[in-house]
Amino acid sequence: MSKGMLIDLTKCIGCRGCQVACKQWNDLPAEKTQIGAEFTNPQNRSAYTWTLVEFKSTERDGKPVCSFTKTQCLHCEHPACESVCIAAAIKKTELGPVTVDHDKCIGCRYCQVACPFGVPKYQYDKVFPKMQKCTMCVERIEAGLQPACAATCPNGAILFGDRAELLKTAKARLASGGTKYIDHIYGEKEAGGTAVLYISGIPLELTALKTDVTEDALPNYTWKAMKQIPALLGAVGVASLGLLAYSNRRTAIAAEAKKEESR
Amino acid sequence: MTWWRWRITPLKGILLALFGGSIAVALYRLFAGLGASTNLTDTSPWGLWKAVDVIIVVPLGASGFTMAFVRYFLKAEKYEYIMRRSVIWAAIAYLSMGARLAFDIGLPWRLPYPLVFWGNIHSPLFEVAWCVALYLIVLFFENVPRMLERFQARWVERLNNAIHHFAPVFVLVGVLLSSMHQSSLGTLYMIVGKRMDPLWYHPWLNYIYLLTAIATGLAVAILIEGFSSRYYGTAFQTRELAKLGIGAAVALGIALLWRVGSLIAEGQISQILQPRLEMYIWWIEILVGYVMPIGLLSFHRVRASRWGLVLAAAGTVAGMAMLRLNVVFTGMAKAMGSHYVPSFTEILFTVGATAGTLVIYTWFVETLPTIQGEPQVMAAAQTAAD
Repeated sequence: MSKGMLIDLTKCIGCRGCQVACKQWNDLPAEKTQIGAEFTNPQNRSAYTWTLVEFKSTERDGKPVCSFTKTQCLHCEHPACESVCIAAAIKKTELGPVTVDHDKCIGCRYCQVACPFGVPKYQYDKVFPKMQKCTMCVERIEAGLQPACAATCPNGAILFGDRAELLKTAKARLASGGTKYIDHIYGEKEAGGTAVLYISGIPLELTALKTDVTEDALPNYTWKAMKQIPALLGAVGVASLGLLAYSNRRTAIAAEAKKEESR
Repeated sequence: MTWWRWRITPLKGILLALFGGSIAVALYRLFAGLGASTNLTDTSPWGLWKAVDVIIVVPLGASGFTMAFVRYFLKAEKYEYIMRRSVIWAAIAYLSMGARLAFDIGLPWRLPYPLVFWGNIHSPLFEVAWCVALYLIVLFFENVPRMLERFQARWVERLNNAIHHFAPVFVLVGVLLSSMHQSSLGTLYMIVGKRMDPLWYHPWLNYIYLLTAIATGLAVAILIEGFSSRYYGTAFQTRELAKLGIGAAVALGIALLWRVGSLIAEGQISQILQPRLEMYIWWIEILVGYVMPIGLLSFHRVRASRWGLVLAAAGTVAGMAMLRLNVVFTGMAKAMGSHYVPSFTEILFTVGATAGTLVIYTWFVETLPTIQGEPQVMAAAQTAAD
C-alpha cells in the first residue's frame, strides 16, 4: 500500500518539533537564522532544511489569525520531477515516497523547474552538489517506523499511514467537524493527487500552501508532445522522401529535355 | 607548414581574449562550484548558461539540417557551398553546446551517464540528449569529406565516394533527429503548464520551437553567407539566399499565426493589450522576430539586396533567441518568484564561449579550402552537377 501523511493544520501548534526531528534524523546541518516578517525560521526550505513550519499572520473577520503550515515534499502520485529527470534518478517508490538516487543525478536541475511546489533544493554552495528534498524517511518506513516528523509531533497533527486510509480519515474529520474545517482536502487532487494531504480550519489562501496548483497530473503535459514523436518522424520522413522523389523526377525530366534539344 | 592558413586579426584577437575569459570562468566554476560562479538559486535553477549556451545555441546550429535538406532533397546543387559552410558551423555549434552544458550541470563528468548507463524515456531532456549525440555522428559524416579532401590517397577517395553515395541517408537521419530535438527543446517547458505567463504559454510549444528553429537554420545560413562574402570575398548568392529567406518567412508566419491563434483559443488575447512589462517584452519579440523579417522578405527589392536579407535573418535569429529567453525567464519569473540577474562570470562565460565558437569556425573555414570553394572548384562542381 502506498503510504502518505495527513497534516491536520487545526492541530498544529507551531512548535517546530518536526523541523528539528527532520534535521536530527537526516543529519542535516543547522543554517544561519535570519529575522523575517514572520516567525518562520529559517526563511525558506533549502537543501539543508527539508521541512519547515511556515508562519503567516493575517486578519480574518477583524481578528488576527496566525497560521502554521508544515511544508515539505508532497510526494505526488504522478511526480513531475520523476517524469522529467534525465537520469532516472528520481523515483516514485511503491511505498509512496519520491526519492532521489544521488549516484545517478547529474545535476541538470530540471526537477526544480518542473516541481509546482518548489520542493527539490540544490546544494549550490557545494563543489560536488546533491539534489535534496524530504524522503518521507523512506528508510524508517522500510523498517516499520513512522517518518521522524510524524513520530515527534506532540499534538498528533501529522498522521502517517496508507494514503487511502488517511483520505478516509480526512473526509470523516471534515464531515464530523462542522465549521471547524474548510471543505477541502489539499493533496487529494492537487497535481493529480499527492501522498501528503492537508486539512485546514482557515482558508488555504491564509496558509503557506500553494493554492494555484493545477489538478492535472503534470507528466501528461510533456508526454502528450513526446508521444507524438513517432507521428512527427513519420510525417517529416514521408515529406522528405516525397520531395526527394519529386526533385529526382524533375532533374531526370530536365536532363531528358536537354538531350532532346541537343539532338 | 602549408596547411596552417589561419591568420590572426585584431577581431579574432578580441574573440580569442574573450574565449580565454570563458575558459578561466570554466576552471573557476570547476573548483569553486556553481553557487560561487553563478547567480543560480533554488527559485532560478536555470540561468543564462542553460538558456543561451544550450537552448539557444542548438537552434543556431539548425543551419546544418535545413541546408543539408535543401541541398540534397531539393536537389539544389547551387547551394553546395552554402551547405558546406552551414554544416561545418552546425557541427561546431553543437560541439560547443555540449562542452558548455558540461559546466552548467552540477557534476560535469556525469554528462554522458544518462546516455551510457541509465535514462528516462519520459524526460524530454533525455530525448534531446540522445538526438544531439546521434546527430553529432551525422554531422561528422557530413563534414568528414571536407577534412579528408586534402589527402590524395586512394582510400580517401573510396571513403568519400561511399559517404557521397549514402549522403541522402545521412541527411534524412539528420533531418529526423533535428525535428526531434529542436521540438523537444520546446517540450522542456511544457511541464510547467499554465504556471507559464499566458503570453508565452502555448499548448504545443514544441512545434513552435521546431518552426522557429527551421526559420533560424535558414536565417543563420544567410548570416553565414553575409559574413563569408564580406570577410572571405565569397559570392553572395542573392537569388539562392532569397529563397531561403522565403522559407524562413513561411515558417515564421505559421508560428506567429499559431501563437496568436492559441492566445485567442485560450481566451488570453486581451493580454497583448494589457499594459504591463511582459506585454511590452512580448511585442518587442513579435515585432523584431516575426513582423520585421516577414515584412522585409515580402518585398522583392529587399530580397534582392544583401542588407535586406541579412537584416531579416538577424531579426529571425533575434526573435528565436527572445522566445527562448522569455520562456525561461520572463514567462516564469512570477511562478518561480525570483529575480534572476546573471552574474558577471556567467555573462563572461557565455560571451566568451560564443566568441570561441566563432574563432574555431574561422579556423575550420580558413584551413579547409573546399569549404569556401575556390572559383575553379566551384565551376567544376557546377559542371559535375549538370
